[in-house]
Amino acid sequence: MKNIAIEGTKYTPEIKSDIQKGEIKFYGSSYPENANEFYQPVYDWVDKYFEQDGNKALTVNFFIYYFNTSTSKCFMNLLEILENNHKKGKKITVNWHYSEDDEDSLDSGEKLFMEIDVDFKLIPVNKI
Amino acid sequence: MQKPVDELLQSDFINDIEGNAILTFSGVISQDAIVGLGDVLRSELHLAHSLSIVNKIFAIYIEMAQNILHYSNEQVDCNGKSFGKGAIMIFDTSEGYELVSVNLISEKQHRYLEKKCNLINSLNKDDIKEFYLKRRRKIAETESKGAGLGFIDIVRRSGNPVIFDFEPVSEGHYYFYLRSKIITE
Repeated sequence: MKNIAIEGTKYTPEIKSDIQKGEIKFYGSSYPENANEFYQPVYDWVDKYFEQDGNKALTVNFFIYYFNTSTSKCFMNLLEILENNHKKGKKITVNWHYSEDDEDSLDSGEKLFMEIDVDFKLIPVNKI
Repeated sequence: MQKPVDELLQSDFINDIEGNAILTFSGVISQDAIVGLGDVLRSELHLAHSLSIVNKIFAIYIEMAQNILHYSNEQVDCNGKSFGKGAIMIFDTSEGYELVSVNLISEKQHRYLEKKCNLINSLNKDDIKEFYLKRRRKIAETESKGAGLGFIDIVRRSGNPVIFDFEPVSEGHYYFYLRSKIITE
């Protein structure tokens, strides 16, 4: 399978994966015109990744400083996919990075994980 | 059909806002327009406010603008894509900011929006947070673009009820006016 490599724009995040390291990373801002369409390749990639033999662990790194409500729906979908894989015994780690001076970015991260059963860390950074 | 900014600024719905318009736009709200106006807004706000306040106002602007893009009853086709027409106005007031959106809606949308806005305004701050999370969980299971979640988010982020009104235009058509106040002082 191939790595996912989507370049960022002002309104969509950069998305890069590293199959060797077992990592997928989101970086930037997210308010696409059609969030469902934009995030579909990510869901597909994660499904495929876990279908491959030997892929038992995945670290998901979020560096997202702003996302709109339709993106938040997509992040919920993604977290549900991760939760399902966690239930199947895969090792999932999610890191939500937030800017120290932006309480909303911490708050929105916390809220995303409240109802989802995956291991996650909230990590303060100087600036995203 | 979309009203020009000059006419909107004279409208009864907003004539009690005391402040300067820092951004006004009336016309086709494409994704490119949203991104461009959003940049202008962010740079303007950054001069005077913390990142936290800039993000709050920006988030409300995005929900209002994308709402027009997807759900305005007046849609324009351009290169195979469909964009909504409407207006966005942002005012700098003595207390903070007020954001206003105006767009055309149908009879069905009128019924939906009236119910939705009244419901959201009836909730207190804690209830609105809980309602938002519950709704989000629920719509994550559907194919919807997120209809309805944006309105809850606007009230949740601003910390104030929305002011809204419907102006009949013709049989089965209305202008939908929406106002959100952010207190920064």
